Amino acid sequence: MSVSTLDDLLQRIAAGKGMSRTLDMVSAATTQTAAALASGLISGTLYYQVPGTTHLSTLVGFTLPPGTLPLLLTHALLGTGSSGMLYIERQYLIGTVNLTATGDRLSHNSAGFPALRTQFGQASQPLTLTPLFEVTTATSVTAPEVRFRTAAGADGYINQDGNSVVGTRTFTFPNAATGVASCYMPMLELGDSGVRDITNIEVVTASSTGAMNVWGVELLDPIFMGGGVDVAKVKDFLHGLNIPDLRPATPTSGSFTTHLCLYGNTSNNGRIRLTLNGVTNS
Amino acid sequence: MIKDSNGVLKAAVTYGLWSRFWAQQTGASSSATVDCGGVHGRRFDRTITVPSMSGCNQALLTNCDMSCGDANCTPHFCIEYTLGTLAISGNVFSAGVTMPIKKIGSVNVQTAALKPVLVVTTVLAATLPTITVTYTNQDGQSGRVTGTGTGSTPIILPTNAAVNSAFDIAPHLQSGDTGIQSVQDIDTSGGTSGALALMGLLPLAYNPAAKQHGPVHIPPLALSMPQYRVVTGDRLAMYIFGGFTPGNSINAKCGFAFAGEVG
Repeated sequence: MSVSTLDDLLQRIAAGKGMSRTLDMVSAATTQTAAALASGLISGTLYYQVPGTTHLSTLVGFTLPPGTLPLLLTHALLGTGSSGMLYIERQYLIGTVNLTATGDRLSHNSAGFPALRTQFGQASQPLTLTPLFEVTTATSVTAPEVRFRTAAGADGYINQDGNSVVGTRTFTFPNAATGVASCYMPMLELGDSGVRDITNIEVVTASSTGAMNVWGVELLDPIFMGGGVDVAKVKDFLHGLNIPDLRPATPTSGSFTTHLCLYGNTSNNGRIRLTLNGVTNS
Repeated sequence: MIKDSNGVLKAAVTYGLWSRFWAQQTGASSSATVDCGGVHGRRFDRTITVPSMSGCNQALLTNCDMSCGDANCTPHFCIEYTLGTLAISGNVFSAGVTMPIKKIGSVNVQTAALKPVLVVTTVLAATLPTITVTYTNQDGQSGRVTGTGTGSTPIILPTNAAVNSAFDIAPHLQSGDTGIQSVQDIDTSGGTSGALALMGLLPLAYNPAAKQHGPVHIPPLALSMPQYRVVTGDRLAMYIFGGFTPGNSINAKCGFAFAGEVG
């Protein structure tokens, strides 16, 4: 039976049907390169789980209790040395791109997308995701350029309306040596607000080294951390009744790599102590 | 029954607040890994026992201010229950209590610990011991085992874990489980000495901190979380989770206030 009232929700938490977990989240590296006009103007940092001072060999986000029942977020508590806007987000790996050669270079998880959720009572609705580039191997010598299309001019992404789109905008990495863990939100065509899938990426100008992850990001909730450094924050999601499901969406078929992370629109690298409380919705 | 801040005010005036100021400095704890919860934790071994009451029989936490000497942690103030203990030598388990029934709103709820924490009570002499807990889950199903099922991994503690190290084992519950009502067994794969206690925690207050002695004050009654009523004999404990230098000594200075009620 689904959660029905606030009292019901609180009783479920008391009955141990939920989550209360504190983890440290840290950016994967401290070598981010700030964005420029041709790279979307929004610098970004992804924060992954770190027990102690060393990242796990395979980066993971905030780990949830193993299971499949929806887990609704009720509170977030943060303490951080970072400033700026933070988002609790779930990211889905659409594919990877080798930036060292021109042409069609997206290694694409074609089966998983669109990601599906129940929305407004309708099951299996495709999610509109925000595209995000995450540099995993630093570029060098030449700033690479990419665009959402094939070299032959075929479409590059499926937009929020389910239409195939041939990208016309060129995304240029901000520096010939763009550092690992740099994150950028690439530009879409005018009028598009997100993607259901990214199908092709053409490397127009290659770099001597370089690779990136291409994520589709589900922005769950913003948490503004204010200016300056050393900020602590509490967000009670029940007061505004924005209670996102922390569990991943369903792939169209097969599976996808997905993490629950923090995304910051800054190249700051502070450590974030994140406590998430939630309730299981059965 | 207290339902709103006006009711709490009346109770405070009628029965009087009970408050405590508490400060402790503790030594180094052992670093957690992804194999034992993924977050550093420490328990302060100085606890507070709720005293007897007259005219009222349960109390709500009305105010809690915690500050900590470590900038990188989140203090948790909790009601603590010993669910079971393990003596490493001989692998001897002793059963503890079952999580209590607490009234939430107008309903009596069999609680289960969302935060079951393995605490080192005597320093371990054990090399990466695998600890297996058999328990009753949040739905009352007994015989559940940590580290089983899809996505669940065994609990492996650090070698020779230090006293007051606290490891959140919730990530290692059997797949599909989120809490523990009671414990049937705790088992170690090896070791020669030391002791563990599995504590079930009911959080009363959090104070996230961004910097040393720089917490955010959160009135407990203002946060949409279960307001657990404490009763005479409840044991109240302080934990700290998070941070990357667990070797630092920590001091926490806390002040609490409770308003009694009849429930």
